[in-house]
Amino acid sequence: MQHGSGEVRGSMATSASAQMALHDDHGSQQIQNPGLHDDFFDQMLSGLPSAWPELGNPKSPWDASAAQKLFRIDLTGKPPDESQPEAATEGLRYASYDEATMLASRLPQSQGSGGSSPTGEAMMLQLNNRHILPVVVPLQAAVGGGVGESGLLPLPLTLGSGGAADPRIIVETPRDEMDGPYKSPDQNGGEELYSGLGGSIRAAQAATGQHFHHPQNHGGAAAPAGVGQGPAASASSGGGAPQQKQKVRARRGQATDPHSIAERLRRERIAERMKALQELVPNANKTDKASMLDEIIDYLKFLQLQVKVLSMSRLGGAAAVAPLVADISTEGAGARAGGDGAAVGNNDSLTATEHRVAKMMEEDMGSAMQYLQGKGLCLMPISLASAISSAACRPSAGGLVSAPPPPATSAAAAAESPSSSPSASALTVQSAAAADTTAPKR
Amino acid sequence: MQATKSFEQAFLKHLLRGCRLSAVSYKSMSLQERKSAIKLSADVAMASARGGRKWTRGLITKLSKEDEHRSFLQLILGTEYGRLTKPCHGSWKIPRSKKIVRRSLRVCSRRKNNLRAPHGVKSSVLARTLVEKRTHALKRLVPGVESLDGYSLLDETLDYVISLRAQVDLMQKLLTTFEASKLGALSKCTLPERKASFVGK
Repeated sequence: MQHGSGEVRGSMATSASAQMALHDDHGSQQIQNPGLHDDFFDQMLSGLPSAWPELGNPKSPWDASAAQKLFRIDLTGKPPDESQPEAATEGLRYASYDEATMLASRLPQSQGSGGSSPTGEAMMLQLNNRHILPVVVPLQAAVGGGVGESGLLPLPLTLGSGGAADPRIIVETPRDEMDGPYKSPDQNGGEELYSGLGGSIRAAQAATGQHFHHPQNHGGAAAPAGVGQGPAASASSGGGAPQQKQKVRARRGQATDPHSIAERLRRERIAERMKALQELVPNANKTDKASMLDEIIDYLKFLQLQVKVLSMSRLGGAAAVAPLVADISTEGAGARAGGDGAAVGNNDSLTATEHRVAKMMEEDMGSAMQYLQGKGLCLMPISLASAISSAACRPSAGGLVSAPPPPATSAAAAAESPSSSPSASALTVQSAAAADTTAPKR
Repeated sequence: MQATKSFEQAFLKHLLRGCRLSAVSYKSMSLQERKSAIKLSADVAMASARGGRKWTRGLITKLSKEDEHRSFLQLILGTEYGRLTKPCHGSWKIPRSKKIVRRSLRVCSRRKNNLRAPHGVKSSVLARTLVEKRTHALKRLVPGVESLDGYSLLDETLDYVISLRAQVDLMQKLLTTFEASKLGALSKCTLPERKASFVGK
């Protein structure tokens, strides 16, 4: 441990200078660091985030407080685990600054070390999943320098550290391989930083390579799910076997929380109603909701206007006649009791007439009308007749309301055409009767 | 979607009864009086034929707001009148003053606009306002749907449209029937004329 912190302090100065150098050369993208042969390191450092300047300003960029601010981890909390010092001595922590700030802000403040280690791992591996080459920052140095022994970052590099490993992400096998590169960096003071960096970069690459396979099925949903889910998931799955768990993941862009499901259901029901309205309202091939509503509103106004116009028409006359027709059928029904035989005979003849009229209607409407007129009958909608009959008296069998023609005046004989369509139906009202009755009443 | 036969029959029955009750005639009534009497009968007939829906209740409530109609309604509907006009607690909502609601909506929308779209009007906000405007217009047209939300509003509108269509159809048929019969009876017109009068059906 002491050795580790000594190393840390030794590397701190060099790292500070390195950082200053980097900071100076920030604009030029030309980083002259001795001993950097690694291409990956160049790539990474050339893509340094602009968060560097924010760290570059204070005198001691590796201040514990700065790191604390970055990670918002309670560093002075519990003492680190057994495995952590090992990890601390072996390698360096790294994270990219902007990612770190983002992820760290999601970390709950009071994370214990047990909880934070999987958090750190999850964080790191999420970074890997995102294919971001993590910027190497000797954070361990920063934290270690500031806080001392207890300042070991609770973001261990090794995956297998502690029992509370995130089972989603952790795979046992690459652990040893991961440890390998950690051991590779030389332990001499000055060079240690850079070779260590290089080694850890290689480790990062290895980690990225290793973990490409495993989190594949998790896709991008894992990363945006955030670190918040990491500890939750690890907590829920327990610190058990670090195996892959196939969890039900929502499709990208859709959530499984009940609110959005309810939203979706509601939208589907509304769409169903709109479709039904589309069938009713003419000229409603619009896909837009607003224009569809426009059409509905216009159609409603049109219908209401139609009702107004119809009520202004000569419907009053019809209404005046109708009760008389109803009365007539009452009379007819009353008189029918006396003349049942005649009524039956009438029914038969009416049926025959019906058939004839139906046949004639199919060929020529005019001749049918003429025929009816000759019999003293005319047309009426079925619904009207049935309404009248049901209102006035008990309906006769087969929908026929027949009455024997009274001597002088009127009788209502109704016959339904069997082949009538709902719109054009044939019934009979004795037109002469109507004329007779209307004349005196007027 | 079609209105049922029972609806049609009930409608016609009530319409004729209502017209008779209000003693519609050409002699004593002016055009306006006749029109309002028939329209009233038709609306009441439609509402009573349909039964218990939000719009039927709203329509009858609206009609019974005027005193002269109330007795007519009671005669026509009888026991149903009490049933249809009593407040339905399922749809009862806290009565909100329209002015206050409008003001709060304005404040909310202004706040949203200031926060979200400093560079211009966002399309989503615009679309939502359009739909809202039309929803309000729809609520004004269909009786009794003031407090309903999107789905129920569309449901009631659908039902109301079907009933209105049936009303218009039946009134037209009634009219043409009696016109035709009168035409056929009164005038000794020739065959082509009669044919022409029936073709319109």
